Amino acid sequence: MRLEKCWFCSSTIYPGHGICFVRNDSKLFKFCRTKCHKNFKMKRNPRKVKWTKVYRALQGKDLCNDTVFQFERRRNRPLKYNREIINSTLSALGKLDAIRSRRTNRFFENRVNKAKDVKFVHDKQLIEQNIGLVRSSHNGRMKDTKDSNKIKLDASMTLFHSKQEE
Amino acid sequence: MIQVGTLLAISDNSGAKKAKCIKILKKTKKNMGQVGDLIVVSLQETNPKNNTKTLKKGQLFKAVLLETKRPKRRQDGTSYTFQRNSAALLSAQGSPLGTRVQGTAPFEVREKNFMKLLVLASTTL
Repeated sequence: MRLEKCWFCSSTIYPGHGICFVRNDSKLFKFCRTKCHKNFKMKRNPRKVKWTKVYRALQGKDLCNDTVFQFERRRNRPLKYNREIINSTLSALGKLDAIRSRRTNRFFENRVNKAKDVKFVHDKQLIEQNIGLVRSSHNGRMKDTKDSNKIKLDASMTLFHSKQEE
Repeated sequence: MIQVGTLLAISDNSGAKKAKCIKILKKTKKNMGQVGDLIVVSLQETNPKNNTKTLKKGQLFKAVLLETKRPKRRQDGTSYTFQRNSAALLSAQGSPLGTRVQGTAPFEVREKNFMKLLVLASTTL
């Protein structure tokens, strides 16, 4: 049985899952679940919806255009049964899966680390530009509180004196 | 879920445009028409360019349901829906009235042995 790809989120549709919509011009739209079907009915563009694979690929958030993904391809010509080929492909499946997960993980780590570096540089620049706003927290605050107390005291004393004079 | 009173689009080129379902030819108690079912329709609207002499409003025909909006589930677990409810007209002998079907003819039509309709349809599903 063929494992199709979801039209909206491009995840695999396993047998017994999802629904297929046939348009009046007999074009097929296959969906993996009702979430994708509903989004299609709402006329949403999968390129603009953040959780779809197309969006993530476009934004450079996921690994794509890698040689690992080229094994998974739509083939319309059925292969004649051959025990050797079947055995070799079955044994290669695990290895391929390991390679794929390793590469995707590495891609993700690189992306996150790069983002961290960029954020650090940006923060540093912000501090350098607005150094006047930075205060050595402890001393500054203590002085402030004392001064404000003094002012309050001064004010109350002047009031007291003025009342006495009257 | 086609029942008595449902308006259907006619997807063949017989000259009819719209028809109303007046009977579902099934022996079961729940008479809900699904894809591939035989029904009786009365014509509601005909195409003024085609066959105006032969087809008139109110005429009765047997027809085969080809597309339904209600999801149809198959034995292999897949399910599919269509954009409209449509049928193709049959003559009194049981052969299709049109010479072309614009739209899909699903696998259920083959199961019910309407093989000529399958040949006429632009795509099969």
